[in-house]
Amino acid sequence: MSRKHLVVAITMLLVAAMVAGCAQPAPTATPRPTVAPTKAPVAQPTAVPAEPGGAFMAQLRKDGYIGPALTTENITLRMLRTSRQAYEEALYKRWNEEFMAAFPNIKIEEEVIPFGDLFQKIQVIIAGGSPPDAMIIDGPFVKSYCYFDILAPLNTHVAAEYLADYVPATFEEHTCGDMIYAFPHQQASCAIFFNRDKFVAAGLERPPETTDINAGWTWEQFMEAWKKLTVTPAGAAAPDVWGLAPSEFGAGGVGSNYYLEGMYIRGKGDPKAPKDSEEWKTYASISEDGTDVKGYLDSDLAIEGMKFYQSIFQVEKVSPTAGMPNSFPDQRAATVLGTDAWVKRIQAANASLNFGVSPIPHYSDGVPFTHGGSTTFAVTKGAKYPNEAFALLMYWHNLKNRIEFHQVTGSLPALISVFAELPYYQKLPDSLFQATLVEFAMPRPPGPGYSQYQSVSDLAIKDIGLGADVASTLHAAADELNGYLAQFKK
Amino acid sequence: MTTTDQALVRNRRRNYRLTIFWMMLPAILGLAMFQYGPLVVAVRNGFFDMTLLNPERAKFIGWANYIKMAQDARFWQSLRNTAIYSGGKVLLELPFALILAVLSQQAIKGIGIVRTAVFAPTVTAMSTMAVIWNMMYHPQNGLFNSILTGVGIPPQPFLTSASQAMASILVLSLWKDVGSSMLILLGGLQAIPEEFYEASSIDGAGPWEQTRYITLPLLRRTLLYAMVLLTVTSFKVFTPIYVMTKGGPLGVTRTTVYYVYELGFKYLQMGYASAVSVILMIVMIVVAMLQNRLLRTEFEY
Repeated sequence: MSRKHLVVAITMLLVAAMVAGCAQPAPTATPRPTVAPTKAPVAQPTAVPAEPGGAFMAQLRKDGYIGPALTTENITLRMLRTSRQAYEEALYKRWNEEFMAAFPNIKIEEEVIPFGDLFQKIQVIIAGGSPPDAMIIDGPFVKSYCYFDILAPLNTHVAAEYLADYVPATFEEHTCGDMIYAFPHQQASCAIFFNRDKFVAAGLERPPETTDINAGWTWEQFMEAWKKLTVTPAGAAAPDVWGLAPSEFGAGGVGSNYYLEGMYIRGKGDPKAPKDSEEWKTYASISEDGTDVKGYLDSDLAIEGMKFYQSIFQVEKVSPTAGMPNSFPDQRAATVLGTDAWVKRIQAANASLNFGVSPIPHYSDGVPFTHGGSTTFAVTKGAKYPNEAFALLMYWHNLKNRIEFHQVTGSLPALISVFAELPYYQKLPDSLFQATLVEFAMPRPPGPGYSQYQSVSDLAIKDIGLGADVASTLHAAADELNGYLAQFKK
Repeated sequence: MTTTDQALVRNRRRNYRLTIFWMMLPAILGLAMFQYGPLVVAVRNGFFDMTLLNPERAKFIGWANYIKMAQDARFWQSLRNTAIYSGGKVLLELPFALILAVLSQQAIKGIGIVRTAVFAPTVTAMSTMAVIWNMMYHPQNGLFNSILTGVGIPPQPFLTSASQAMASILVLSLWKDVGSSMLILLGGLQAIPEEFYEASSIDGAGPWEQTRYITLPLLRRTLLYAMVLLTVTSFKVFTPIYVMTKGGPLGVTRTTVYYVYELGFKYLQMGYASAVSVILMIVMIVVAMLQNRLLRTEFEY
């Protein structure tokens, strides 16, 4: 072979390989499974003896599965989910084994990834054209996935009675148009945890431990307490004990996650004010069509809220600017903002800690506010076996398994009926989280652009926490975000 | 040589070239599929408005992404940050690596341990290092601030200060990567024939003259290689930014590669992210060509 021929052959191979490389990610029509009729579900007969799965399937139908009978062919059901604590993993493993025992022809194959990689992973597998049958998603992203048409609605496979059992914030978050797109796995609401001993030592009155959220302290009251609770030993450059623990959400420290810091803004608003008012817009955080944040994220009230947030770190210096994992259970901080799941977490880290839980603080001129939302499970629109995926998720999320899950994990249920089955929600502190969730929790800013919303606002809030000018930072963030949201305008 | 002999020679040559071809083929295919293929796709995607969540909705928009880039302050800031990081890395790391390479070439007792110690961070994962340094940089509880306050210097905000964040990341990268550059330069130093030094000694040259007229000129090719490699890897910095600062505060550590990640995966603008990647690649090629031109050597030994 002459050199010329060699060069020609290599070039041709390169071109061929490039074309092959190009072919996959290029936009091509992905075959979609046939979707069952989308009219309102009708309850099915309680048992269909001839169905595969026998008594197990009959129970599944009682639980709420209204889809077609499952396949008798040998199939592999693929699920993507995030890694969990060992006690949760044990539950998932057992549920899968029970499902596979009832349907020996179905093999469940799970891909388990860290939560932090979830959004990227979903983007990559969707672009790759081979989505799993079922997957875990973060609640606030449901509307985004609906917009991009990658989820299958539940209404065709799950009874309306089951869907009507969602707590209001969850129902709102999981709904697009008139369809519901996910099985809520758990919920979350925020409250403030405080170290009773440190309040006594500082000669402070303790915040109320009550389910009456309106009776909770204001942010201003807490600020006064934090100043007294922050202890700097003589000659030390930094406090030994902080009034408020830094956030342990997301990346930790300032600007950690909109889930937490967003309430400093939205709590300045008022849901009962007229819709064209600044108060309503501040509370709503985004326009109803999810494409405009100007005057919402950067309203004067939002700026006031963020000035308060900034003062925590830059003026009063009652909380460190960087993360300090476990600072509350380690008694390096006197209070911490946390969710329901933290009760168990704090007890595990320091069983002897004498702590109480008080309602989420509110501004003296605002309303109590906390975000709801947590992880949730959905069937992908490109699922190879949607019926089986719906059935599996229905099994994971039936009343019996939900009760067991929440008992084991201590997380907040997303189904109203589950609360009644868990007696500890009759007393504090769990009753406080339930009341907060049901009465006050709001989904994060609704709309298809939540990823952009969270990314831009997290950076802006972080900069503000580190000392950037509040007004100009929020205005710039709102302008930038509107640029990204423009793609969703109809 | 008879006609049969000539035919034999031709056959052997052809067989030799065919053997080379078949041996190179797997590598060529790998490169084409995993390097050049995605490159072509990125160039193509740069002309589309698209997201990974629904590539079917991709819309051809011509040069719009490139026009948008020209007006995008964040893009220019990211390019400036990348230049600061890469410039700082090359200017600080190469001289430091050269000093270490010269020192580790000396017959000093225990030099092997020092060499290993300098090189060890290179083989450690950057993500692990970034997490550890993140803790060491903690404004209130970090090791560095404990040392500073111990000697009477007030604690520094390192990663949370717009004036210190990039420098703090640069220090970590320098510490982590200097061993790699040292190893390359050490190889170059050891390739310089010992006779040159012996001859120059006889002519009365001291250590400075030897460095100035022998070591540096003969090390030029190695230096060029190390510099181009360092520049290219510096332009691609991502992990410490992702782990330690997420591009903040005030965007001072948002490098272009990190911006590409943000655009593609957080802001769902994969088309625009691809266009930015293409421009970054062109910038890197131009910089590498300039370095090649400036450090071209006429020495051969």
